[in-house]
Amino acid sequence: MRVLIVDDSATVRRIIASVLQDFGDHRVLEAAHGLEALAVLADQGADLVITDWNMPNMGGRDFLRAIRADQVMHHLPVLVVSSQSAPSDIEAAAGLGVVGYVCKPFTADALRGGIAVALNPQASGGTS
Amino acid sequence: MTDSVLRTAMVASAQEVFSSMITPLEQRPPSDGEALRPRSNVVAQVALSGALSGIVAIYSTRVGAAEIAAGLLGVPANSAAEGAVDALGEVANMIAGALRTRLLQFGPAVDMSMPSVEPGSALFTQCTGEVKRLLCAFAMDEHDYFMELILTGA
Repeated sequence: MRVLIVDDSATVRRIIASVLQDFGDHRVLEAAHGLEALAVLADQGADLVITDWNMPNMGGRDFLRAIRADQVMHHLPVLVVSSQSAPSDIEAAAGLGVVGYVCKPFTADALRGGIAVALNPQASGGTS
Repeated sequence: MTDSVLRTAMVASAQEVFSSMITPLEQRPPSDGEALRPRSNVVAQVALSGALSGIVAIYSTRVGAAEIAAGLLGVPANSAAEGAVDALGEVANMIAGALRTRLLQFGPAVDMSMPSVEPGSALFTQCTGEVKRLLCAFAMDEHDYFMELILTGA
């Protein structure tokens, strides 16, 4: 499975990639913002996207809108991991069909729970 | 909002981030006066705008920032120096986000900027006019960290 991690912080990308290892051998792709992520998706594709919300150049909201508007990628499962944890932030992401929303700061268990939901489409639709 | 309410929210936000992702912080006595010019050489800032506007800043030394990176990544500090600046920026981002959530009880959500980090300098914001300025001090092992909140409209 190819998992695209999108976050402007290399530290957060490393943390998420490290936790992903608990779920088996996935190919991890990385991008620092939405525009870069769209280029990665166009070039290599992905089976799951884990993205930050507040990023330079293109934030999570516009990135998600671009995915949902794309004929090929519109069903792509997306998990948001963000420090923006107001109800309005989570509702906005839910409105764009994310499978989960993990609020920063997160414990390793909270992130594992969010990734477990994202990797299992049958369990999708929750936030943590 | 009183200074006491804001200080409580600042401390809780910093503690939440460090306890969840690194290790619990030791809280130091509230700081003011000359302590508002901490001797730090890495400063991470997140701007707030909207109903409230201002800045959340985290002050650290380079070694202290490397300790934060090491804690986040679960690696020895001597191998985390390269990621120190990015890690301090992300910690500032998370602390500002946690504070933003706590401030929701007083009004609508404020907008947050991306974190900006200034390494290698003693960046210090000189305030003019009517602003509220608070500084909280923390320690993790032998490293001191400062969280500053500058607000207008509070």
